[in-house]
Amino acid sequence: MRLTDLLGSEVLDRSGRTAGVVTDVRLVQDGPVLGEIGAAFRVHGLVIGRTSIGAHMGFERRNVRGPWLLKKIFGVIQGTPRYAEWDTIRSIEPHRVRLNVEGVDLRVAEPPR
Amino acid sequence: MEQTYPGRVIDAGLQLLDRQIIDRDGEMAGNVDDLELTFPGDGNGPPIVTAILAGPGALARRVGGRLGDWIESVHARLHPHPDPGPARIPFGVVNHIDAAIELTLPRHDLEVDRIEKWLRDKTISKVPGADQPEIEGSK
Repeated sequence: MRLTDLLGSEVLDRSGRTAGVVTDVRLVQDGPVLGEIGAAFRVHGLVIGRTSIGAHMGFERRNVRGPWLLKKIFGVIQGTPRYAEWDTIRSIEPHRVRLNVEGVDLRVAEPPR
Repeated sequence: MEQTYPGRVIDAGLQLLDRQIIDRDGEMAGNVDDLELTFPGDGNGPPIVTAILAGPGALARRVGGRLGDWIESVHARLHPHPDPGPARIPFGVVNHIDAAIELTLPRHDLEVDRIEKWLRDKTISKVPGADQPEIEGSK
């Protein structure tokens, strides 16, 4: 599987309702040792937003304060990002990810520090 | 309450994708166009990042549509292998992740450089004038 198989995929919750699209994939470095870098990066979960437009510009990050107009505009476009941990994924299909939880139960995605 | 993680955390799209790859000697060695995610052998649990994918073979699928098909077609025609995939850099040779991705290998040991070298030797060098060391008036 490739990262870009996940990015942009539609996310459906347990009831089949759209929860958004995958705007990013969060990795945590706690896998088996791979080489010089140490532990491998493991997929921890999916960041879910309303749209992937502008998702990789970083405006949702806490330490990015401006330009304030762009931050406002992308904040409105993207909505509040949600986070689905790997355990909540029921299946991964082409362009679609199904969760085993309801969309309203997803917590707000905190930007990584 | 804020989420805690058992190790360093990065958002792959924001902090890895499109980053410059730098080889052991500080030379540019391409960009991160995609990542290879591999599930554990027993199929249980989340996948891990096993390789960086770079070059037109990785970019084509990401671009998608007609342009992606065109990039893939050109890549396949120019590539020495009949069914070329993307250039693959094992994640084990990554040394450091920051604004750029630093590797422990020189770029001539990488697959992405081998494709570029093959193209240079087999295609570009045959274009009339390709053997000229400098463009006239460039000095």
